[in-house]
Amino acid sequence: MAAIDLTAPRRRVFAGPVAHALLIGLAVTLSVLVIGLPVVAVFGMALSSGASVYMAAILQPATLYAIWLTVLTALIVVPINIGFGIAAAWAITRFTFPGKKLMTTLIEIPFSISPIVAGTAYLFLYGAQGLFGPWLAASGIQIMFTVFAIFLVSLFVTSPFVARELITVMQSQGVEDEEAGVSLGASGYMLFWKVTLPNIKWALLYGAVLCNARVMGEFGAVSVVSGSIRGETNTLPLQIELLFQDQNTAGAFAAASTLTVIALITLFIKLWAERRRDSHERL
Amino acid sequence: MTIFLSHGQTGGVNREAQRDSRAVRWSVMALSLGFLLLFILLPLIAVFIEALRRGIVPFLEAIAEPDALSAIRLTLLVAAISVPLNIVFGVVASWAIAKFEFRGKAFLITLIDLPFSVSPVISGLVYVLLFGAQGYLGPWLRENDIQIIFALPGIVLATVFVTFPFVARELIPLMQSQGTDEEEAAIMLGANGWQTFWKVTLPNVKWGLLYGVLLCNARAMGEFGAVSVVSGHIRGKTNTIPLHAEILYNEYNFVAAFAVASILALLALVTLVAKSVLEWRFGHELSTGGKH
Repeated sequence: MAAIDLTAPRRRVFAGPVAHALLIGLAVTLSVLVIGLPVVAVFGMALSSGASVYMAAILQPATLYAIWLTVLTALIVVPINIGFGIAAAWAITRFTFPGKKLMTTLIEIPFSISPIVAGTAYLFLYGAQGLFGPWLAASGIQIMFTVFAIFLVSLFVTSPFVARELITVMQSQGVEDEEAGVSLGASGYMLFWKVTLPNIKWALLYGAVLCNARVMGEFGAVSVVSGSIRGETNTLPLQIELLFQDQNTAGAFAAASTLTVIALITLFIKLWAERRRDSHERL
Repeated sequence: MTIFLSHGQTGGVNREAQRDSRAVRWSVMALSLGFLLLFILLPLIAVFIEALRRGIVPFLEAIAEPDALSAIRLTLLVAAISVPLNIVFGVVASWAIAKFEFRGKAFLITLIDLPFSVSPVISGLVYVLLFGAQGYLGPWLRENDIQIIFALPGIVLATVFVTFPFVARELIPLMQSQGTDEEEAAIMLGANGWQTFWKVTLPNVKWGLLYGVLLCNARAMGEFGAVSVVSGHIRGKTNTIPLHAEILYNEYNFVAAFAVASILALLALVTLVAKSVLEWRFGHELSTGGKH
């Protein structure tokens, strides 16, 4: 009886249809104006001179190379960060050790730090005037202004994504499944592949997708260490900026549209993984 | 008998498993600690070492220099404008999404998430496209003598775009998990919508809101890519701290560059500490557990 009484006012919660419409209207209008419109504008601009100009701009060697370098960076950085994320989440949620809270905090540093700091920090470590500079020079190894520097700063900037996601999920799942596995005689290795991994796979995918998006889109940190050498150390975001500085607007927006397509694909995989993760958690 | 047997069996297995798990434990710990030290801590410490290498006086001089001061002022101003905007938007959007049913809700959530996956360069570029001299609205803006690109409004817009999701993403799951029961009770007791919001909804989400604001602020102050495209890098005018650090570095003025960078690093550390305090003290109220 009480339940029926309660469902009645549910429709008119929060003082009537005016506030209702106002809130939703405001949220939708702002999102469309600030986010939706600008993103649509990228495609409009990229295709404004026709499809052939668009294709020519993308097939330009420097742009093609930038696309390739961006994909390569993601292929190297994302798996390493998946490895780190799993190891860190495992350590934090399954073991107790002194300094655990500190470690949880440290993992998140890259989220709150400006990417420009990450870039300059790596320059200071591995650059010619840096801490390891003389040693690197003596050994004939160059890191700064090469693709290795790009890999390193991308690692830094995106390292929390997978770890952060897995820590949350593994904490909420607890250790019962693993304990059952151990008591049934599973080895650590089997335990990981047969119990832990299936339990966290959607969260892992979600974190990896976020990580990938950030790797591919990162500009600040990469621009400091890359040296922006065309056809050598230019990733797609750097190439876009370079084209734009050259007044090559068609080229810049063509390249930007490829990056935006990647972002949109990322977004849909992310939403899908998120939905699966949440339904998985509810089970 | 059976009990005894099975007990013995699992005991043996357990020993083996324990040895296994010890090996796993060490490799996992070594891997994650090594990674943290090598890739995250070492570079950060390096920034402070380099900033203070010539002693504290050149460090302070570098920060007190007029261009650096104006960069700090601009960064604070941009954050002071864009963070409140995003708070208002975040609260409105999460309220609408968590407490109402309407068509296109999934689409709205998708839009809000977009800045997390779009490269900041692109977000800067589109604002140039819209408001720049050659942009869609360029001629109209010039006639009315409004400058957006290469001026404060452009920097604020780009920053708002990049930091758009932080508050909303934090509040949506929180409000959803809290449901509408308390608001309904307030309405039944005669509160109007405004009162319900200030007395019921807001107090319920305040820590989550603060958490989102911290993240939003850190990103707003540290953003480089998007701001760099729209700012025009005019010294003492449209240079934020991250842009100023890069310019100094490119001029081989390393001490000053690292001094300015260390302000940003310090800001990050303060953010981090505040965030951790929130998580430790009010973890149960941040039911999202820091999902962003």
